[in-house]
Amino acid sequence: MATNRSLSRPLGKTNLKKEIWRNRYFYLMLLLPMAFFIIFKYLPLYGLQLAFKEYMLNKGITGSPWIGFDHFKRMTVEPEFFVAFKNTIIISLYRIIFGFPVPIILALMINEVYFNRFRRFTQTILTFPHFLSWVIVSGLVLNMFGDSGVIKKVIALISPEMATNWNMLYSKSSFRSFLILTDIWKEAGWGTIIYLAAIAGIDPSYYEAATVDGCNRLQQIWHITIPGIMGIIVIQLLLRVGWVMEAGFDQIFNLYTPPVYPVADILDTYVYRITFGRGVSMDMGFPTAVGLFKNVINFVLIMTANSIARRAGHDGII
Amino acid sequence: MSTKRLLSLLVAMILLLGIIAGCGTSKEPDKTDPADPGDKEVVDKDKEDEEEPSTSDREIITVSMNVMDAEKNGNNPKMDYVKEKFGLEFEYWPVNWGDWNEKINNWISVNDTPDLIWWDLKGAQSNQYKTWAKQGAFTPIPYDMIAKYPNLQDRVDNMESFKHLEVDGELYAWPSSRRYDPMVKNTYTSVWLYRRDWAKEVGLYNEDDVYEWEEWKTLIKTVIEKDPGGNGAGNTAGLVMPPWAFPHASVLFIGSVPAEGNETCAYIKVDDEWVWPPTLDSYKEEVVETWKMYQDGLIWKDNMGFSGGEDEELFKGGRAFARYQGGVGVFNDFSKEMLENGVIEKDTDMGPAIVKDRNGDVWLTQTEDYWTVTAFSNKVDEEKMDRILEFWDFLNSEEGLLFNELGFEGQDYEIDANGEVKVLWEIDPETDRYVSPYADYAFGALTPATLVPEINHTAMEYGINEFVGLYEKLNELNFKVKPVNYDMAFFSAPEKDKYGNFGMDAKTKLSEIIANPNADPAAEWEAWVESMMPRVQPVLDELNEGLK
Repeated sequence: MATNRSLSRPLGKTNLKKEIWRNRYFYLMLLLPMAFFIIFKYLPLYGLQLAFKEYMLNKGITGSPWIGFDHFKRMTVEPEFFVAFKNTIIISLYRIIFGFPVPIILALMINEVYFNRFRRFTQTILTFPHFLSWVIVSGLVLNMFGDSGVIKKVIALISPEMATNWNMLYSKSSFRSFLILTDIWKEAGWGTIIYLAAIAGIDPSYYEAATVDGCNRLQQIWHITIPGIMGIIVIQLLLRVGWVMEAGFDQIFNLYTPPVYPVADILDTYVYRITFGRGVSMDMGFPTAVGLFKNVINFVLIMTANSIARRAGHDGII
Repeated sequence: MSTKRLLSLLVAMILLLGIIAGCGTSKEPDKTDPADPGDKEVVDKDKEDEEEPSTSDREIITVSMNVMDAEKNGNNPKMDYVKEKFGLEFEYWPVNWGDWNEKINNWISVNDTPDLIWWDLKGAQSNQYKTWAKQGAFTPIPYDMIAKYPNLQDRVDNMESFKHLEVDGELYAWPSSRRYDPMVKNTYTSVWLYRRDWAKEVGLYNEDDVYEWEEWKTLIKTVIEKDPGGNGAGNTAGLVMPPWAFPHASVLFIGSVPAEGNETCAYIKVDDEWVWPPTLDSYKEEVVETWKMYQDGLIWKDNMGFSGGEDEELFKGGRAFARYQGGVGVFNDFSKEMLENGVIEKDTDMGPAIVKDRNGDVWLTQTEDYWTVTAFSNKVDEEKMDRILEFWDFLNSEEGLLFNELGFEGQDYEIDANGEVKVLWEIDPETDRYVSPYADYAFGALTPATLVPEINHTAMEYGINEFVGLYEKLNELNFKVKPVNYDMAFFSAPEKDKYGNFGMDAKTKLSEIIANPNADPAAEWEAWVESMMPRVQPVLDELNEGLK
């Protein structure tokens, strides 16, 4: 109870030292995440100035000359930038609209499974794809959905005409759907964990009372389970909205091909190509400017979503 | 202290130390050191005893360099010899075909490079090289130091590219040899490696391996339909290409469209004005032809998703009819593997096809006279550079060339009274190929790949015949040449430096168009070219202004 006591009154310098000493092992454990955030999140902020500089190897980040907003002006004349920006927003929104509800629905369904063994088995099967990297998945996808893949061969047995027109991986009209579906297949199972944990935290007496009152399973889900996990749903949604500009580099980079660039090239893949692609002059400033632009938008979105959530009576994340 | 607390303390400390260690600037981590005595093989002891004592008491210098296949760390007597004689040992920084460019960019941008930086510099990207040189990423290679070494000086005197690689009068990168052959007018001999046995089986084989354009298309189509390899319906690929050559190799690169190196967008002069090739009607027509070939399935559709050596595996595995091959040094290697795996029955079941373009011409492309360059890191001091150049000079000597290719005289080869080299390696009776005792050897283990001109004493009769036969046929056909233009490739101006020749943009658009079965390829190409002109025209203006 020492911690609760300490939270209930202001701490003087001596008390603070005592509290820290008393909880020294927790603070020691805290060092690790703190080191992570300092090294990987805060120190790199120093490099943000490159967005306003022309980077020169011999002068380093600090010594390189300032060029104002030149990199940002370049964004306005590169047509590929706008395509990538639009795609980032669209693909992220698709992920939220179609992908976000799936783990919630799955968690509710898993929670209703009566046999424990079957429940665990299902959960394992659904969670497993999360542990495959997108590099592996892209190989599977090519072998299954490619022009010479298994799926096309099966379709050819059913409808040769449909198989002739098969162009799943290289078609602009189907690629975004394909992205969302593969993302759901890979990550939905993993996403259920947090919701199942939240469901486990709901007081069983609510269900008992509801059963006594004559509620069926669907009514219990609707009136007890969903409201019970609504706080977690809102937080998860806030986090997703705050990451709208992160449309899934790993997945897209491993799955996309030139024919689908117009619908699949997002800001991250665009930055990658203009930085490391062949035949381009590497320029650290422009990608940094794009990154900064992206993060400013993310920041505005997350603050807005947080504020809306609070006004709607939910806990925010800030 | 309770066990739990002690454990938590230990775990926290280990993780924290892990992070700190991970952030350090270690030079060792994922790099293999072939000269590490710890895992060095114990080689022929008797031989060691017989060897002359060290020719030098010089301190051993470790040279780091990026190589392919770094995991094949080449612990073998060659390395011992180099250490003994030249006081050099190597530390490898691994790269592969997929991440090579990316790693070089990363290393240079954070100024954490190996001593020898080896990369695939094309003339079209010389702007980047010049910027790096001006900004101090490299140590210049002084001409007076080169002059001490006659074999290196000879290279400087005889290779055109040296003067183009100068920045403000200093040389910052050493060009490797492209192994140009005057017999084919110093061109990059690209061919289709194809299955002769399949062509014979479908009754469309041409004895001279030369095919007219329509003949070639009919042959591919028939092979796919009749499936002589027995792969099953829909499983035989027609044409496959490495990712860098896809899809332009199928029509554009072997056709009349101007090209430079591996690209088809090198600016050319028409009526004394610089022109961007995609604006030409001939280019557009070949885009349409590529679209037709892709949509007809003559080009393997899943080639679109290849990112590594899938094309090579398909061909070697007997699934593909023809594979685009840049250069002609692979006949023995490919056929050896295919023989070993029972894909072909005899060497000559596979060979190079010469395909004429739609006008009946055969085109070959000149490139720069080098393939890849090597720069010295800005951390390399004079002593280290001098030692490396001394070693390179040896490797370029007659003895060094044989050492690089074969090994040691008396053990790996001998020279008879007529000066003929006789290889002493065993021959595998199954494949009729020499078995190298130095198989565990990275690509460019001693020096950045092809920096030393390759000689080929181990090529077997089949490979030599194919090689010579191909060159003779090309000459008989009076092949045409797409010439290299160093001045244009190395021309530097703000817009050209920023955008290059838009080669990747053209390749991307071409891929996008051919993948769409409902496309109107000509109209889409025209619209795209028009949309590109606001960025292309300033580059053309610079060329017209600065390179008359």
